[in-house]
Amino acid sequence: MPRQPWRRFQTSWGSSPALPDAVKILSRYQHFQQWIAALLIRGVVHLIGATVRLRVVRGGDHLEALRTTREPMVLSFWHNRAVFCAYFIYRRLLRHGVPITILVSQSRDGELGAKLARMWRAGVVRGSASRGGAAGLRKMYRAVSRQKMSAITIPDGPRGPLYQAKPGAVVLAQMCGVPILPMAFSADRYWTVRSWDRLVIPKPFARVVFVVGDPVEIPRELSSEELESERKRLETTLNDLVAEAEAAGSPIKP
Amino acid sequence: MSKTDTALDVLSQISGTHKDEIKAEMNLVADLGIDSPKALQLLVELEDRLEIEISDDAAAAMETVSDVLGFIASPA
Repeated sequence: MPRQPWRRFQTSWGSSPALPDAVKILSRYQHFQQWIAALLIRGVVHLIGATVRLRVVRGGDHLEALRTTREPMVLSFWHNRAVFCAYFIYRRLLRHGVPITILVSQSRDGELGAKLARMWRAGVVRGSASRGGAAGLRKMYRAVSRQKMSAITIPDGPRGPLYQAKPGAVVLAQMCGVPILPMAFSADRYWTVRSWDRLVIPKPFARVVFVVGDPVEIPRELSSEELESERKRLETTLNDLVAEAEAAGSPIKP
Repeated sequence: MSKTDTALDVLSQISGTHKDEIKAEMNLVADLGIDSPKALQLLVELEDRLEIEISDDAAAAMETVSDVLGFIASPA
């Protein structure tokens, strides 16, 4: 056991490409530009969402339970599914008043994500994986433990590697004593954005298949080896859900 | 209640050790059994009750009770 317990927190979010030492402050105009961009993204996603044929093949009861009981969970999905998963969470949970918060990078790119999250009625905690990760973890811990909010974590964000889970979701679930609810989707027709993760956006009128996995309980006491084991278990679970969604729907080539 | 008393209260609450038994030279992990989940709780409680912000660097430097009390007395 480390003699400085918080050392684990500083590395537990994993490594990412170095962020600038000073986060550039956005001008009012840049904030306005990002607000417009978030509004447009939200509009497009809602239009797409209104036309797709969405089917939840498994795990809909877990979402219903969360909507009813409001017992906090850590909702988890891969980064390249993030936008439509976030929209799905908005449709099924956020707009029904389920309190959910998301950890967003402190970078300028993160500001766009933060604006979009707020438009979808999610709480936002600013933090990063490579800087201030522990402070971000504290804020998320407060949100989950004190304010009884569920939390969204994207284990391979903000910069990958793709489909490789960093320990953050596991650490948060461990600290707060709440389970992880993993999910994935596939679509038979989709766009992929030119991003590091080839972000997937279903096309209008696509058939979209969602799979929500069983809640993953994380023990409160974990050695370093056990933490790594739980991280791998989450990674495998998310990849299995992707495979299950693609088997029920259509494969997505990242 | 002074900041030091509040910090000792929090340490006592988190570690389950009586306040009078907490000594400055005690190691947070080895002597007070403050593991990772409790360490997070400790930081959050200290921040909330003392209305301070503890940076990651400051948190990383806290190994003993005296480190915690020293930070509380003069947060950077």
